[in-house]
Amino acid sequence: MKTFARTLLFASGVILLAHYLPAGYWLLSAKMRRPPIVYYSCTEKQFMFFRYTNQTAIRMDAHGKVYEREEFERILPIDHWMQLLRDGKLPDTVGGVALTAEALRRERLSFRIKPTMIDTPSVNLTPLLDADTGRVRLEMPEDFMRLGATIEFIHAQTNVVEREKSALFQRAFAEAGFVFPATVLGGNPSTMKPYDEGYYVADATGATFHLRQLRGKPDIHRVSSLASAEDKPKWEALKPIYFHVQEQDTREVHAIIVDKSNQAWFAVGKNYRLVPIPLQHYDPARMSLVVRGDLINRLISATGEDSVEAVVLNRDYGLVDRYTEPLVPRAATPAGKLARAIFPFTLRFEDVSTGYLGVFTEVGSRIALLVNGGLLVLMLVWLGSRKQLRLSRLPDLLAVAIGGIYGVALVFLLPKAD
Amino acid sequence: MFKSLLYKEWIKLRLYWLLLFVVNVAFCGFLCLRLRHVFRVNEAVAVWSNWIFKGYLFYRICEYVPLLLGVVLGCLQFFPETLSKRLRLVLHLPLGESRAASIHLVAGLLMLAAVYLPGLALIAGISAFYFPPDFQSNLLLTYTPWLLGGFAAYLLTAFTVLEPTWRLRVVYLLFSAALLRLFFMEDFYNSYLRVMLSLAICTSLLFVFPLLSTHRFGKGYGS
Repeated sequence: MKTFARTLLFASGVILLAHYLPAGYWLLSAKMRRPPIVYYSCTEKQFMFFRYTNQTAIRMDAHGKVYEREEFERILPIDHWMQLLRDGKLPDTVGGVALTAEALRRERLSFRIKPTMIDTPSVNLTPLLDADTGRVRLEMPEDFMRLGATIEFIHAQTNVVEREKSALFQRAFAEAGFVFPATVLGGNPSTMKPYDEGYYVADATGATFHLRQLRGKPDIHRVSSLASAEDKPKWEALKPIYFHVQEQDTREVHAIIVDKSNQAWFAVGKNYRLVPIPLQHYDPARMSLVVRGDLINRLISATGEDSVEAVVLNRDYGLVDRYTEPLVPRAATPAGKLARAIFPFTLRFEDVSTGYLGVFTEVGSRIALLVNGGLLVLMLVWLGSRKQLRLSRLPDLLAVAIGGIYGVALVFLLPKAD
Repeated sequence: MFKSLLYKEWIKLRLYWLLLFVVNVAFCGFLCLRLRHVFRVNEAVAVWSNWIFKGYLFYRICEYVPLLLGVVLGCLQFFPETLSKRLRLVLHLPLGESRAASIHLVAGLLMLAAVYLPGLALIAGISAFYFPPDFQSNLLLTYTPWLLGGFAAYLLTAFTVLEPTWRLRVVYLLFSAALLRLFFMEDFYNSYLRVMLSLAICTSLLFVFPLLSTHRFGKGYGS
């Protein structure tokens, strides 16, 4: 029992040190690392960047030319239109498009999808707003929808299932050809928006449906049946894992969809046109996707630990330009290289890829393995010289062989074998 | 012998246990009253929305209560045994030191469970009036790591208190603090869903640590 207990104590110690020592190291040695913010100049037809170098913000173009703030704002008139308008420097037109405050405000698009939004704990209850109440403002309903193996509405005040309404929606789902259970649900359960888009739902077969509530009645359609003949096969083949719905004044984008093959799509226009976002390196589990749209272009950027990629689309979603820049990941910085040489492995219990806790491992470099080997030899010599090289010291030797410096620390801290 | 030792521990701790039980149930009862108040002064839709989308859990205030109860019970059970070296008498029973120590720990864990579970049942029962069944599973998934943290705190307290040398007591204290933090990393709800089983297994493995301290105590280290 005592050997088992000691072994377990060493194992626990290695796990804890593999978590806390690297965390302490990075607490002391971390430096500001921010990926560049990417812009696209509609006047210069080139990418522009807002970079952070040595804690200083620098504005530059793709050729490395540095700009003063005023010049930078002049080159990006749509991104800085409010400042230019205040200064009286906003051009009347750009490329033949009139820049009026109202149009600039109305045509603005902004979306952000983070990995933790895709994989995060949630409760399968959400309010289904009425998209057409006849009132000026959207109102929060008194019930919550539970969409799983069936559809149910639960009245919050009484905490009772609304049988009649649930049956009404259940029938509507059946008539629309929805196969339960629902697998993915995406909507924007807020009243702080210009209108209500409702929810996009994937059924058991992966088919996408658009669900709304209109004057208390269900309105559900298989999206492929609403799409044009050209887009119908795309909708039929789509296997979504995430729907991002965020109502904007333009009412142009219904949703951004991420599918099983990590492809991101726009669903746009009255005919639910399905437009692939032409990013080549987007990984929804590790990268943030930002969409910024204006009167002239749609700029989409995907930023991760080791790269930033951006594409510019025109108003018809045709590709205008693309940009890819490798970033130096933390592990490749001098501090990161040192950490990988010192620590044979690092354990974290949180990760940017998910809202769930888990065990996330980073393995050290070959140098760390050599260090482990060297420490093990020293340990063997030390134990041999003290005539303590016996089976009861196996936990100590294993801790040093696997844990390197973690193991050495534990050998001196934890109780010796009898 | 097993029953006799359990009974001995019950006699020793019953007053303290009753006190901890009353404190825990009273605290959970207070939380239930607070929940009732929240529903009386707010719209139910707003309370549900705060729970679902913002992770507002009315019982989050008792996150560290199981931990505290575990530490208190561990200290109450094992400090008197070590201060007057009474534990040596038990370790010389024909039962063997590991078994004798295990029975002490089982007695403590049972008493701790008997403190925790009525409080949890009270919260689950009262919240069922105000929230749908989804909330109960949510409660279970969120509360379980805290309960496991409480059991772990009890075992680690026994581990530290039973250790005969001060140097190792300090090391074990740091070790325990580092380990117990891992039970309280949740800031939303259901975050532990994917590691719950591993956490439960790790907690049960902690049972052997106090046995190591007991062994060292029996061997007379530090005296």
